[in-house]
Amino acid sequence: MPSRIEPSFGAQHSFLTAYARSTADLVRTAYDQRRLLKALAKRDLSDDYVAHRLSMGWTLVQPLFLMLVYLFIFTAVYPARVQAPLGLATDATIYLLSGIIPWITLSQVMGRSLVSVVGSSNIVKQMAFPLELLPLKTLATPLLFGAVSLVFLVSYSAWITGGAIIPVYLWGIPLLVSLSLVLYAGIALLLGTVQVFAREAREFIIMFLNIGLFIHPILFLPGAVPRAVRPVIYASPFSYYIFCWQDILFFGGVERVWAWCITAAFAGAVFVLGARLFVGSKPHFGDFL
Amino acid sequence: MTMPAQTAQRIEIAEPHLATPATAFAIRLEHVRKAYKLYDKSFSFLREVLTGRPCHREKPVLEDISLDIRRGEVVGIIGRNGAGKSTLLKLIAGTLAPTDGRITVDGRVSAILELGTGFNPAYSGRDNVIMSALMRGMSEAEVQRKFDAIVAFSGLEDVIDQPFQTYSSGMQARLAFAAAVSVEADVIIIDEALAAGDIRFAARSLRRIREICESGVTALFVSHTAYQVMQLCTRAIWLDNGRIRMDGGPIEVVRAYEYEMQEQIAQDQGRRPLPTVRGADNNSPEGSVEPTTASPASEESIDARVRVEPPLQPCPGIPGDRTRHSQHKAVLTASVLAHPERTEGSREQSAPGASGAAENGAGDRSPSIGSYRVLDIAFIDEAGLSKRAFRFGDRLRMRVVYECVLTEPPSCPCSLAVTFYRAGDFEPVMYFSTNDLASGRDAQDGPDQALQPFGRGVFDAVVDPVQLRADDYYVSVAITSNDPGSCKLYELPQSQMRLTILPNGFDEPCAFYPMVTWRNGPISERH
Repeated sequence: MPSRIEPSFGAQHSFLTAYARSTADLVRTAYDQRRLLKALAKRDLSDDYVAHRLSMGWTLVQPLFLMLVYLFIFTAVYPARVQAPLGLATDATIYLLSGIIPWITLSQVMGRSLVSVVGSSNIVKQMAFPLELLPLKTLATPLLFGAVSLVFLVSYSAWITGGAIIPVYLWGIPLLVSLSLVLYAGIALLLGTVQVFAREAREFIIMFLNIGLFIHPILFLPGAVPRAVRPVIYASPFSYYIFCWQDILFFGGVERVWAWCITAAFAGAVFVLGARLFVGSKPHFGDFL
Repeated sequence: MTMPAQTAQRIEIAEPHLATPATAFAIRLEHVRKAYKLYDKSFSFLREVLTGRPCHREKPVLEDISLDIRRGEVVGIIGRNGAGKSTLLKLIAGTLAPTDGRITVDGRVSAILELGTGFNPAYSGRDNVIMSALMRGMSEAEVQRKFDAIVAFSGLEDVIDQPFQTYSSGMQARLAFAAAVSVEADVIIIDEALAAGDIRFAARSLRRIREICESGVTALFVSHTAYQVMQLCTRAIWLDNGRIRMDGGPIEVVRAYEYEMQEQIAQDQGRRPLPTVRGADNNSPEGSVEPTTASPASEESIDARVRVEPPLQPCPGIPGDRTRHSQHKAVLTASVLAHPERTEGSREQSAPGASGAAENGAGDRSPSIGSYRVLDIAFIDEAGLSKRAFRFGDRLRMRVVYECVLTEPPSCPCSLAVTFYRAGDFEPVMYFSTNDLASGRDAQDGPDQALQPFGRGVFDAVVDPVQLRADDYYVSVAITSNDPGSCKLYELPQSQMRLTILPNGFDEPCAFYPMVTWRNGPISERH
């Protein structure tokens, strides 16, 4: 049966059907092309280090080095204490790293996905290629960074708590990783698309990433800031995402249920919106690159 | 391959042997229009996507294109720069979406729109070939199977594991081409990617393209090299200003296109148009120039050889092979435009403001093409038999039967030019004309060498001996004005005759063997 290339924004579908269909299309494409996606992701990881002697080894060295620096600063240079449930860690380093790791991963996702489509204009224009893979494959490097850092933090936390927190990690981390994958994929699709049509998007994102470490509850407890400033923290949906990670990694349980609900809803919404925007505007990329 | 989402169904029917094609056509375009949208504000597009309210201006590129391309057709798309050729290919490849209309492509598509897409210079040639093949939709097993053949084709076995950036640009192009053409697909789209690298590789590329075209896939390609279109295609489409100007057999379409191009080149060079020659007889019999062997009709015309009037108005010739060549080429296309009814099976879709060269230069420049018709071309051996194959060293008599359909004599004598092109690469290797290029003077010193201004005539040219190496050749004949300042073309059956030269006992390494007179002796005796 021949397929048709339809005008993407036909009026025959209702608003919601279009979103559902785009999301289904995207998931199906990613699944059908999973082998190619894997090859592209592998290539994405090695791209930065192809001419290096240590090659892919750098993808491990970089996050480990950063974690060691943070560990040194938080334990030796600025030792601090954060209140934690009794019987669990009282080590502020775990609290700080449980916010820093998802935040750095998230900012890498944002930074890389911005150029995922724009930076591959020749592929977009010259090749019949499943374009969805372009933003999705850029997740590889941030995810590897996050994974290595997380392994470091889990090891450190297990050592500090004497292994007591491990049972929570066993169900909490897979849950959060799944949520993160949905969120990151949505962000990558969204930003990859937006950057094609609005080149200024990059500047806004860079500004946001620059202040992000300070407007989110990463280096402080939300209660520690003046009451007048607190709405800023709660205005960003990413604060709730950070809360979730801190709940599991530091507090050892779902402490703030509302944060989990908001994060789940936010991740789902970003993914559906990103899929709709990407699938809907994909045929027009060639006109803008 | 694989445009995901809307082409998911496409992938499922990708294997032609697995599914019987449900349709006779491979590509169908219905009233396709493409206009690039210009957005004044950067966020206008996103607003349009999210709200469905149009916020743009349009720059039209293609207008109302309707096409059916059947399975196995090899279609060449020609047209000047900016005519919309590449846009059309990209629409069919799916990298662009049509503004209006519908495009249906049945089967797996592989598009070679640019060489080296997806190549990363830092990786080795091997890594790049594998990645590019995967990106073009091959499976890993398929890549493994074809890898050696790809590298062998590129001729880069020795350096395949070195970084791509250490290759010369020619080597890079070779590898990229080899990787690109290795993809199996039902529909192959090629945009000017031919002939990369050195001349040997260019010939190999052309052979590969020919293999692809002959393998039964549906192929579409854009080329500025009209000969390639004529050689490879079963159909040609001339795009002009975003519309289909002409669609039909490659010879007719290329002929019409080249004529217009040559006329414009002539205008650019400031060559003056010839004085008017009135009276091209449009009602004369439609002698579609079919390459035939000697026919009874042409035998008659040999007998009916008419005495030739001396040139009415001597035109001093200007030496210059190039001029001649461009005249020669130019002749190609013209007859179709002056006589569109001659293009049997061709469809001419007129575009506003593009009604053909004949009208463009209306007034004192017409009529030219069609004033003469070549009725028959034959190659005759010493025994008087018409043949298509000769041996090196044979005597070859070329006979051209023509007819002048003018009611008034042409204002300038006409000459006949013959070019032999090597079939493999369309390199012109032999040229002769009734005009004496060496002296620059018109060599029509005897009545036998001037074209008949009225009625039928026949030209005999004897080449003795044939000094071309064994190969296949295409032969083009042009009837052109003897005025070197113009590019007036009267007729051009371009490359319609194929002639084979066979070896004569030894293998000649060169294209041409002149007859040379040698002298040799001690140095003191020289001069």
